Formats: sequence, structure tokens, C-alpha cells
Amino acid sequence: MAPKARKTGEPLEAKETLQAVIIADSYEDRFLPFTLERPRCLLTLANMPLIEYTCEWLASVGVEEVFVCSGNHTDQVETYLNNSRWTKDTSPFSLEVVRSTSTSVGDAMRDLDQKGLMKGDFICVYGDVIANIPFDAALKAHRARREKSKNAIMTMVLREAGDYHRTKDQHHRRCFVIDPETDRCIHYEQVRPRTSPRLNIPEEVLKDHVEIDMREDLIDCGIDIYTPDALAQWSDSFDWKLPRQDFVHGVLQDFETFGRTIHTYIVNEGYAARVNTLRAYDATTKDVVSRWAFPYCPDTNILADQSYQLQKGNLYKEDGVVLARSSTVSHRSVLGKATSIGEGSVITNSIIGRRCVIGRRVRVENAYIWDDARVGDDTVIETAVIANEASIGKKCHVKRGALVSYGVRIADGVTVEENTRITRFKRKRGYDNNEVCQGVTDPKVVGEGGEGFRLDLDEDEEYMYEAMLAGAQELNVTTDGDGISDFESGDEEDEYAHSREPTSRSGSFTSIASDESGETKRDHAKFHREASDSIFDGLQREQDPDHIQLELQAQRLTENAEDNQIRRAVAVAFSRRIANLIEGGRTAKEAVATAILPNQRLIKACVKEAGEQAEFLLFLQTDLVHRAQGSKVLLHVAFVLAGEDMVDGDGLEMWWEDPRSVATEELKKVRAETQPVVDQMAGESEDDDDEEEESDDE
Amino acid sequence: MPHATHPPSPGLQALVLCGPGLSLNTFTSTPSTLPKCLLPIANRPMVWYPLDWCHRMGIYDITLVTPADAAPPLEAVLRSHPVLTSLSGPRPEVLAPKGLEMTSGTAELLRLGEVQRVIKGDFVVLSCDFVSEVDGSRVLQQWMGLNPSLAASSSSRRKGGLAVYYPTYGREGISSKKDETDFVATVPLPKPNVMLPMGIEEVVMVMPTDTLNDTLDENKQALPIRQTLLAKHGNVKIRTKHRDAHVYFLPLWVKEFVARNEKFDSISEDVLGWWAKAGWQAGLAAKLGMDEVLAGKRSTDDEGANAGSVDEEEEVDATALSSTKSAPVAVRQSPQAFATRVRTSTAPPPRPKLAVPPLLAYMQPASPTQPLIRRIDTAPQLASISLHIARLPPSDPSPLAHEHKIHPSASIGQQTRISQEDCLIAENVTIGIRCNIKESVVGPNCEIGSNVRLTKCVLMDGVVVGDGVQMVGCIAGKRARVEGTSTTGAKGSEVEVDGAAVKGKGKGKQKATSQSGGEEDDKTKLTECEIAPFFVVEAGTEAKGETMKAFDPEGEIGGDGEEDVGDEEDAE
Repeated sequence: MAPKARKTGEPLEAKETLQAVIIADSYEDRFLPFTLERPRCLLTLANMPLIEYTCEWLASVGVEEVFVCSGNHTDQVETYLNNSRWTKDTSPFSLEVVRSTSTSVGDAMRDLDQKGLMKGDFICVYGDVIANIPFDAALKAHRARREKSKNAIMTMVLREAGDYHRTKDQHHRRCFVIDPETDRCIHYEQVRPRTSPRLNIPEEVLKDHVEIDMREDLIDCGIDIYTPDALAQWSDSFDWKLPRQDFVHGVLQDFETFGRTIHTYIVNEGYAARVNTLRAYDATTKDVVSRWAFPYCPDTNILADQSYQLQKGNLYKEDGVVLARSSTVSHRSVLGKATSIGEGSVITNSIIGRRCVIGRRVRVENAYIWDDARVGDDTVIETAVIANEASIGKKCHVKRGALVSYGVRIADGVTVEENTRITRFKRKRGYDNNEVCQGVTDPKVVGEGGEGFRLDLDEDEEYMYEAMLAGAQELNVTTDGDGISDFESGDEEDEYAHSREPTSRSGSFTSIASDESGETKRDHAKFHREASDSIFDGLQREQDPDHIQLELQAQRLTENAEDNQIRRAVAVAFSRRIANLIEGGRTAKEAVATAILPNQRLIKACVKEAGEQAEFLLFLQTDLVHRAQGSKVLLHVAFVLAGEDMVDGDGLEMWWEDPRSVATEELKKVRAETQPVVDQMAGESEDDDDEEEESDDE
Repeated sequence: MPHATHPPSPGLQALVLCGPGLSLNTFTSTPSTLPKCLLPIANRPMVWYPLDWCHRMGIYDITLVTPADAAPPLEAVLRSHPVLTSLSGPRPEVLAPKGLEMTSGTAELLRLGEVQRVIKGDFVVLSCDFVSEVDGSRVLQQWMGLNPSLAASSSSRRKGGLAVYYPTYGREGISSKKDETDFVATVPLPKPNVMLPMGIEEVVMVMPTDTLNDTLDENKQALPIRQTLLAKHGNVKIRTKHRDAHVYFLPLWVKEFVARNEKFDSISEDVLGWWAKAGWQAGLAAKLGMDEVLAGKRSTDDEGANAGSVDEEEEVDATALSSTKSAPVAVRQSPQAFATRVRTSTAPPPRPKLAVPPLLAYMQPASPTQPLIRRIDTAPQLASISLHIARLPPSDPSPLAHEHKIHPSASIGQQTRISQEDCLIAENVTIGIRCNIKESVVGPNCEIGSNVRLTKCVLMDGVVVGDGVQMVGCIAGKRARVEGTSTTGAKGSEVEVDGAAVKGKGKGKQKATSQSGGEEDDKTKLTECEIAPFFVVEAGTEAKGETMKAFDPEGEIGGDGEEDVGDEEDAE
């Protein structure tokens, strides 16, 4: 509750300072690995940080006070803004960075409410919005409604798009049901294609309104006009996190009780997009370069030190670009200051930052190369993102959808496979999410002399995985027009057969943790992440296994998790711990012994019967597929488990014969070395039986 | 209305379905003498309205489809009724197919052999209870104009259909909450190239409200909407208070489509409902045999064209010829996804074999200034529309306005007041003296006694109203008889004397007489009653909200006890 905010929000005077809140943290992981080191709002789009676009638009709308809410990387945001023109005397608005420890938009809103900074109605946007839509009318409509009814607590500004728009998120289709007479949003549903084939319109919606519009063609870029009352709503419901799924949904549900209404304002001119996925990043960049988002184009030179000039075919060049005579830079490209391009190189449809050095005979297509990156001779870069200061060696091939993070070095002659993410940093496990630590270079990925390793998405984070897929999917599309139709849900078959899982890894997981609806899946994912983190943490600190067990039990009770989830969490935690030890320089054997032997009780507690043992091994196997020396680790683990009677012959055999454990080539490869152990153990158990029989005879 | 100019014939034929009219059964219980389509609306037989509407848009090839037992009276009226005979153009054919029962569904009707043989080209299906001020030719133009350009966007160029929906709300005096409604979901058409269609949208879902309620009950009070619909159409508008006007412009192939699908019962619910869904629900069109109907028809087309059928005219893609407008089709097919804002790659390429022709609809906006479209299938509707037409001055541009508010042949007694602006008095009506008639329609050959007060009443042909009767909001069927104070004579004159006295006094006096004298003297007072044809309402009956039919016990209950109470209330 925030009495302050309420009091101040009462009279709506004609002269009112227009305030705005920029939510600078996205609270999402969709831009990994880049967001490990930088906040999303500082990523550059067409060589300008995203937050600049947002601020520029707010300034054009006439905002007088801006609060930037930041959770992660606050220092960077603050430093950037303090050095930007927005904090200078000439800035059109006053700007203040609000530090908070929020982990969701909801937290940030509650923080704001508590601080009582908002004096009246205010605009709330994300730090990654690119828009040039006119706003006066929306604001006027909002105020007029507000005058009539105190209960109209929020207006969502939505941009009308066609049925298909490239910046639209294909994975979270948002359906707004609107009463066109009052512009009231009467129902909101977020639908995920293929998970829920139907959308349910409640009866009262149909009965109470003579005409309703079901809109799925709107781009929701999170531009909202809030009232202080709405802020108070956030405070009242401490568990709301997301502005749409939780807030809008919640308020609409309570309409009968409280009568609060949420309205929409549909804009049908101007540009509005949110850069919230890689796909959107790609699409929005193209829009900016193609001047759809005018005046936000490179040649507007919004930043003081920019000097872009537009040339034929939407080619933008800054001063001091060095182009070799035989190089070709074709349409829809942007080249930053002091970038040089070597002899015979071909740049198409790409954005290249400042001070980049592109070697000779390089081919760059649909790629994003940020500042200070280097690309060696004879390299090919397809639709990929190369971050600041990264360097790509000679004769490399960076394939579609690859993401190369800050400062990564790829050695000569290396091929970066599709959709790989290479980084130097990773999140510290078990600690605050914000902390990152340097990972261990994996020469298999970056080549000898390179720097960086492959960042695997946590396979359990479905949400994030999907986000990545969306990005990759779009990247696919850019060169392969036909590919897309497979994924789009236009086909009836797709809708019903929820079968298309693009990679083997995901495939194997759905087969194990199958039969779950999207909702429970996410819950499971959450539990899994938390549980495996805490076990891993315990293992790393070499805690007493009983202690770890206790903690696990507590988590299990709060999340109401099932046994197989526990097994999965334990398996993954062990696998991580072992990998971690190996990275620390141990051999596989030592690592397995160190990790498992003192903690036998932990495994025994969750693995009792043969079926459970098999499942545990399967989880372990699946996780080891992409860990260093996975096959060796698996061998030793199997050996130790069998040796210490944590797993018996039946369990091993069952696992070995399980079709899921040989579902893919990778899985087969990883378990190949374990063959002798299984043979031996299986043989033993048969021997045991024989012996028993014999003893019976006696 | 005179038909000074004949618009050129659009080459369509019309089927007017003269159905039973279940909700009007007070007046149509004997279809062999008085079928629904002959019930008068503002002194014209109901069937005149669709006929006139067709004529106004230039359709003269009209077939009236009716059950066999209603055919003779219909033909008789067509030959004899002055309003109908004055219609220009050839007289419509009456078709009474053998298998047609009063209970047959409309789609079932279309499947009948006789009807199938009659349909030779694109056709319009109308219901006989359709009353419209909207100029049909404008709707028709839209349909014809939209068809080639729409059909040309796909490889198989087939014509779509067009239905008409009107709002059941927002019109004072006519709109009633009890009106039947349909649930209809539509999507806007792609931006037009040449003209702005007036309120034409594409239908994607349609069902009567009853069916909607059933669906809601089945699904925990929620309406499930398939993802595929939203994936294809991002902007779906749902209307729950519009009603199907039962006017369908249909291309010839629909004849075959209906014939193939035996399970279709009604045009509005089944044919349109499935057709609308087939447009976006993949696989449905094939299931309904639409693809075969559309493809199969093609071979027979040639013969049809040779036979001079108007069905297949040269279809020119106007979009492609336009030099100012780029065809959206071309943009869509562009392989370079990034050049345009439209995400081309996500649009599933239309499957050529299953390009379902669009089902269009004219959705009339809800506004009191819009021309009227209504279906008359309940008695209150009949009354309210009759009264609406009665309110139209002769100078009104509405095609439904009557030339004479009070027909010259009507004889009206002295000191009788008839409010000209909202009454309609037909020919050969005799009205006694000191009557007061407001907001009423009096049919031909009615005899109205003296001292009669009629407010918001509709009297059909030959109704006899006795002296001193008061009627408010009543509908009286053909030749019904409402007895007054008494038969003419001494008592009648007595009443006249009473009436001559000061009004308030007169009332008091009458009350006194009613108390002292016999029941015979009581005034007949009817409020919101429906009186069946040929029914006789006895003198002194006082009733409210009743349906008076022969052998209907309710009709007899005049309620002696109630009379006094009613009188007293009135006096106060």
C-alpha cells in the first residue's frame, strides 16, 4: 500500500508534470550470453544503445521527469546515463536512476509505489522500446476516461499491425478482447501456439457487450499509461510479476469485485516495436535501416558524435570508414566510424560497428558486428551476432544463428556451428544471478589459441530455450524462406501434433519429462533449476549430505515436486559438480570419486528401485552429453554407482535397454564407453541369480 | 412506390421462401387459408416486401417456394390483390415442391429436386418476412464488385456469397430485447482497391444465439475459439446482437454444395456456419466436399456458358490491371522477407486446391438513422414494423411509405380524430363518429363503430370493432370481431349521449351504468392482445396481454371480477 501515491494522485490538474518510468531491466534471459555482461538496454541496435531510442521517444512525447528502474547491471546503466546528454543541462527531462533489488517488473513497480515518486499518471515503458508513434491522443483519451471514472486505472497503447508482422512475437501470441465502444480491454489471453489450440471467451464477455473485437494483430510493446491507483494495485498483490499475464489478467478477473477497468488505445500509424527477443532485434534493425522508424535512422545522428550519411540503397556510412577498393558493401548496411574493410570483402545487409577490422576476402551476410570486433581474412559470417571486441580468426565460418559474445576469440580455421552461443563468462552457480565468473576456454569450440566456451542453455529453462529458438528461427528465415512454414502454426497438423522439437537434446527431454502441460512444465523447470542449483551449491561447498537432503526436501514440499524431478535435479547437480571438478584440473576418475563418494546417501535417498536407478542414469547420461569428457565421466559414475551398490545390475540393464538412452547419436556416443561396466554388472547379477539358485538347491 | 425506371437486370434469380411462421401462429394456424406470407404488414401482404425489394434491384426472375397447401391462396392473392398486381414486371412463379412440409429446413428445401432444377444461375434466397428500406442494388453491387477481385487472388476463381445482418438494438420503438439474435464473427476485408465497401465484412463464424448458449453450457460458460482462426485473422469482431436478415446472395455452386451435404438443415445455421468455418479451418472444406464442388463445377461450366448462363462471366482481376495500386498478391510472394514490413514467410501459402470463396456479409451499423432492415417473425415485430411504416409520411424517401395515409375511399364519421402522421387507414374502411385513433394501422374493409379508441393497434382485413371499444397495442387478425357496448339501437345512442358529455363525467356515468346495468353494457377494453382471425371477442371483455384464439380457454377468460378493478383504475 502506498498512501503517499494515492494522496498525490487525486486531483487531475490541467498542468501536470508528465512522468515516465523506464524499466531498464528486462528480467529475462533471452539475450544470453550478451546480457551476462551488459544490460539489454545498452545493447546497440544499428550502432546506438537501445535506451537512447526509448529516451528519445519519451522526449518527443513531452515527458518531463524520467525514472529509470534498474535491477541488474545498475552501475553500467547509471554510468552510461550520467555520461549521456540526458543528464546534461540541455536534457528535455530530468532523469533519475532508481536502484532496486527487484527481480521482476512487479517488484520494480512495488518499489516505485513505496518510494512515492509518481505524482500523477505516468507512462511506463521498457528500456528496449523503439517507437515513433504519436502519443498525445492516447494521453488525452486516457485523461478523459480518468475524469469520468476513477476506475479506469490503465491504458495500454498498442500498435495495429497486419496479421503478420516481423517484430511480433510468434511464441506468445497476445489476444486482446476489446469492447470497441469504450476501448475497454475485457479479456486478455496469452496463447502459445500448439499448446492450447483453443481460446476461451467467457460468457459474460459475450453477453455484456454487443460488439467485441478479438485482436491478435496488435503489437504490444509494453507502452502503458498508469495511474497511481494501478501502482497501488501492484502493491496489493505481492505475487504479480508480469505486467500482462499477472497484472492485466488479475485486474480483469477482479472486475466484478472492484470494477477497475483497463483500456486500450490502438495506434495505427507510426512505428512501435520492442526488442525483446533476438528475432525482434533482427527485425527491428531491418526496420530502422529501412527507415520505417523514421526519425530513428542512423543518418539522423541522434548521438552527438555520430556522423552517418545515407547513401543509395539504405547504406549508412560514418566518417572515417576505410573501404578497400575491391570490397563491396551492398544495400541495407551500416558501417560505423573508423571501420576498415579489406580487399575483396563483401558485406551485405549487415550492421558493422565502430573501429571494426574486417579482413580480406571476407563475406558478411545479414550479420551484426558490434564495435571493435575483428574478422580475419577469408572468413564467412552468416546471420550471426559478433559482440564488442570479439575476434574471429582467418578462414573461419560462423554459421547462422551463432552468437559470439564480448571479447571471445575464435582461432583460425574454426567453424562455429549454427545456433551456438560462445562466451567467456558464465553465471556463478548458486549465487546471486547477477554475478558472473570467467568460464574455462573450450578449445573444441574456439580452436587452439582461442578464448571462450560454448554456453549451453539450461535445458530445463523451457521459457528461455523457446526464446532462443525464436531467435534462431527468425535467423533461419532470413536466408531460407521456406523453412519457416514448418514452424508456423498455420497448418492444422502442426497445431495438433505437438511434435516438432528442433534439436535432439530437447527431444530427449520431452520424452523423459513428457505429458506435462506448458504450465506445469514451467513450474517443473523452476523447481528443477532451484533444486539443482542448491544441491550443486551444497556439493561445491562440500556440505554434509544430510544437510543438502534436508534443503532438498524443503524445496520439494514447497513446490510439490514429484520423485522423478528430484532424481533429475540430483543427477544434473552431480553432473555439474563433476564437470566443475574436471574443469578444476582433476581427472574424470578423481572427480567422480570426489563428487559422489561422500554423498552417497543423497543418491540412495532418491534412487531405490531398479526403475528409478535406470531413470537416474538416464538423466545423468542426458546431462553428460554436452559436458566435457562426458563419456568418461559416465563410465566412472556407472562404475562407482555399481561398486557402491547405489545401482544394481537390474537398474543398469534397464537403463541400457531403455530406447530413450539411445535416442540420438550423441547419447549413443556418450554411453559407448560404459559398455564393459554394464556387461559385467549385468553378468554379475545373472551370476548372483545362479548362485542363489544353486544355494537354494543345496 | 412507382417504379419509374427499371435498373438493368443483374442476371440473378430470386427464391422467396414462404415458410410457416411458427411465432405468428395466432394468425397463421390455418395455412391453407391464410399462410404467413399473406399476413398484412401495414396493409400490404408480407410477400410484397421481398418481391418489391427484388424488383427495386432489378431482379424479376422470382420463384416463390411454398408448401403445397399454402400454394392456392398464395396464387389467388398474387392474381387479385391490388398491391401485388400493381407490381411491375412478370408475375412471380409459385413453386410448391412435393416433399416440402411446413417443418422442412431451408437447406433441405434447397436440396429438393424441383428447387434444384429451378436454380439456373447465381441466386438470391430471401425469406417472405423480410422488410427492408435498404436499397438492395447497393448491396448487390457490393457483392458483384467484390467478387472478381477477391476471387482472383487465388488460383481457382470462385464467387463468394453475401449475407445481410442487421442490429437488433439502438432503434427506439422497433428494437426489443426479446428479439432473436445471432452470434456472428467477422473479419474486415483487405483494403479495397477501387471503392470503399459499405460495411461489408467477411464472416468467419456464425450461429444462432441458442446454439451459442448450448456451446457455452457445454464448455463451462466459455466460448472456445480455435487458434487457427486467430492465426489467420488477427482482428475478429464478434457481434452478439445482430440478426441474420435471411437474405443470401449465393453463387451457383452453392446449390451443389448444399445438395452434397445431406446433414445441412438450415441455410443460416448449417450452410453459412460451415462455409464460414471452412474458410480458415484447414481440412474442413475438403470434408464438406467443397473442393470437389468448386473444381467439379468447372467442367460443367463450359456447357453452362454455352447455354447462355450468366454464371461465368469473364473474370478480370482488376487489381492486376490497375497501374496505381500494387497488387498485394505480388508483394506476398516476394521471396525477400526483409524488404517489406509484412512478414511474408509466416503467411501460409494458400493451397490452390482449397481456396474457399469468401462468405461476405453486410453488417448494418447500429444507428437510428440507418434504413430499416427487419425480419417479421413475431407478432410484436409485425405490430412495430406496421406502425413504423404508418409513421412514414408520404413524402418519405423510404420505398415503404404509403401514398395515402388515409385512403380516399375510407368513410370517416364526424368528430372522429385520426392522427394523420402515425396512422394508416386502408380503402373501404368505415369509421363511426367520435372515434380517436392514434398510431394505428387499419386494414381494408374494416368497420369501426363509434366512440372507439384505438392506440397502437394493427387491424388486419375486415376487422369489425363495435362501439365504445378501447384497444391499446392490439393486433386483430383477419375478420376478427370485437363486440362493443351493444348492438346498435337505443343503447348505442345512449352511449353517444354519454360521449357527448364532458369526458370525465362520461366515464363516471359509464361506471355507474356498468354497476347498475347488466354486463352487456360494459365497455370492451383490450390491452396488448392478439386476436386470431375470425375470432369474436364478446362484449364487455376486458383483457390484457392475452392471445385470443378459438378453443383457447385463455381467450374466454374475460375475468368478470377484474372488470371493476380495471375500471376503477381507469377512472383514477
